[in-house]
Amino acid sequence: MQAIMNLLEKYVVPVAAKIGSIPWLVALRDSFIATLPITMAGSLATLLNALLSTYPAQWGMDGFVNAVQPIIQIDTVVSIGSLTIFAVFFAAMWGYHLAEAYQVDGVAGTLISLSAFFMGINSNASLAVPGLSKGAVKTLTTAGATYANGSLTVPNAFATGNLGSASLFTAMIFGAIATVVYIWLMKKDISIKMPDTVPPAVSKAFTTLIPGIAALYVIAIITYLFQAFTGQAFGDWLSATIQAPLLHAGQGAGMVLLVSLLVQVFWFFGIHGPNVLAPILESIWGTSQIANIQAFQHGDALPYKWVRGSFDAYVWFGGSGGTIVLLIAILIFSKRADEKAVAKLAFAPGLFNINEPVMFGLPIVLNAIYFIPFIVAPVLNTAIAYFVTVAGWVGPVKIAVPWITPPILNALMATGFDWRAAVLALVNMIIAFFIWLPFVMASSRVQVDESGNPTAA
Amino acid sequence: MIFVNSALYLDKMVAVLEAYDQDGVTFKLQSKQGMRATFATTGTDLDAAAKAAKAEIKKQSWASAILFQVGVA
Repeated sequence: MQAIMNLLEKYVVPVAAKIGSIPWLVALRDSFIATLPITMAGSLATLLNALLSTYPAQWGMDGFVNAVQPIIQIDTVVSIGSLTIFAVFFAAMWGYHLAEAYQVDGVAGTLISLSAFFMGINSNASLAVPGLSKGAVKTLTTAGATYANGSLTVPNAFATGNLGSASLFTAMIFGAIATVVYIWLMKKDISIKMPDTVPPAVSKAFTTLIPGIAALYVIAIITYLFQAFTGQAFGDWLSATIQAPLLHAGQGAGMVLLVSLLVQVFWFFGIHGPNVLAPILESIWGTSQIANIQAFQHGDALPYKWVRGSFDAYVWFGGSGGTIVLLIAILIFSKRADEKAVAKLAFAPGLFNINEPVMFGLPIVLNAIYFIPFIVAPVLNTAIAYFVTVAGWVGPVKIAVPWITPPILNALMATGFDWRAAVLALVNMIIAFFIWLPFVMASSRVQVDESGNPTAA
Repeated sequence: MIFVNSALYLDKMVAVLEAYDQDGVTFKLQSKQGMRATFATTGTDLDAAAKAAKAEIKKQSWASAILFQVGVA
């Protein structure tokens, strides 16, 4: 084992640490994390509206739905101001964290990234309005709109459809290009210097003036040229040719299982898997999750089956590795006093998916006895949940739930109270329990052997 | 006493903490066995000392990739 650890310290950890400290990836991870209040507020509003409107309406409780209309309207306002325009918040955070990562003014980075995002997306809002009368078309055309093939297009208007998850990659790419130009010019010290007598806030704004203008003109030229040569908004093209295929790739069983496996292997050897893989987890499955929440909010079909919250709902109960099940197995079947003591201490945090005490207390990290179940149980749970969801037996995750939400309840809430999700989480826990059980008993026997007590052998 | 648990880079963590000296808080290695190192600290508030130790380790470029735990022994 020591030889493996030496190899890991020499070759794997430096690479993982390098990945984990690349300013771009750190900024990407931190940008997603920073949007948490927005995601959670939007999810809460969506969840409340499902409880107050969607489900009661399906059950014919129209009187109840009418009575709670004010609350439904308030929730709708929250949704529109949060998740519906999620890419705007992400663009702001992306510019801020990227600029801060390179030690330049984050506020200017925020504004530049935001501006670049709005330049990149389609600034014509289209609406399907089939069968308009000639008079109506003439009036609208006079007002500046265009009407063709049953579609009404209003110029210089940002459609909310272009401000949400569908434009996240546009926010990433345009925000990155603009912020990098800004950072580069700031680092080259190409800026206006003000005398010391000028107030710091004014001086700061002038310092970022030339880099900011240059960055935004670079984006404007790119979008203009692209539009001129292709007749299409750059953002629309990015969404269709880069974002959509990447998110689609994230729906493949191979990729989902590979990530599940990698997280476990990393944890076992003491590497923080979710931290190292966060840029991938968030940009692919996090984006898919926001798309699902938005679709649920609008009553549309959910576009993705497997999203970021699916791992939390069906696999990482009690923390990575599904360790709450291990604690239950130890409490019931282990004869080792030390493991029972750790399980008792770790059970309460485990209910909220905090498993550090287990990882180092038992320990699981580098514990050869627990290697197989720690890897196999989560991967098998992932496979089961994935295929059950893809088969349509359980609804996909469509609400963002805080990761500390206890197991089963997490699945129930994340799927908008689909009882089948709770059953799936429970079944997965039972399966994981039986995978862990023989190894808990083997561990129990090892200790007894060491103490010389033959009764438990 | 505080402890640090880590399967990887424990030696580096020991070096980081033994070099730490802020607000009158220092750490001195007492024992190192397997994944666990324990430290005596001059800090009177052990919880605060453990938090400071964790924050100091997290500042290192390699720390984001490592699973580690810091607590009061």
